[in-house]
Amino acid sequence: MIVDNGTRQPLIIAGVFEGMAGVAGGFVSFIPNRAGKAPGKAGAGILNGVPVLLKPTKDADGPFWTSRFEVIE
Amino acid sequence: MLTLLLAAGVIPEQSGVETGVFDVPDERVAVAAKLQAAAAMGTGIPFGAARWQQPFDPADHLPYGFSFDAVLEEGETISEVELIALSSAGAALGVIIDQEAGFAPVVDDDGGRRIQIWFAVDPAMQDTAPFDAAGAQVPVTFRILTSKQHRLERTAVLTVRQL
Repeated sequence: MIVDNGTRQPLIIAGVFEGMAGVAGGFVSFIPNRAGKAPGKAGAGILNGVPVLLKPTKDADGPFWTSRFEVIE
Repeated sequence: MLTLLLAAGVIPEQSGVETGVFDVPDERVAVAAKLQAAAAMGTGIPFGAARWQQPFDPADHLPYGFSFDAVLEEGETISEVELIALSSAGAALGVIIDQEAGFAPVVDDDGGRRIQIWFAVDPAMQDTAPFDAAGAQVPVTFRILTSKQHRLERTAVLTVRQL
């Protein structure tokens, strides 16, 4: 049995978020803490030092924005 | 050496399933629906996922249950729990599924159709703002193999908020 509790990793999204985000199963979740840009407009960020493509959407309930992420090669 | 022998299939990998007493009241048991509704619930949450009725306070340490009873056929039981996975939102909040001895996930030893897990929250995160008011939605995914070799994956959503 595998119990996957996910991880917390540093995420930087210019104008949207800088801090520790939750990562699990190809998704990243964060609560915006910068006001320079609308979170839904964020298309990319740096996750644990690696550039990633993002497409965040607000969770229906609760404060989180969640996105699938793809590593930019 | 043992790893190599397991990988080569010389020694069969021990799978099996941990069983134990399922001691969870109904309000803390989410039930996988036989026919799942197609209602959107948010990014990363499957449409129509089950819900735990009882919210979880971040300072709690309590067992919650997930029932496959409605999904399994008559006489069918859980023969292996392959995966229990928390969402990225849960990881961000320090929510964990406890794996310590005595609190690790078990399959109901009376019927073998339900799973019991214990939730906890990292003490350093228990007083953070996301748990205020309506709190946060934390999906948990269960993937099982049954006695009829059916593989099933279902998700339930836990509300974590200050109570």
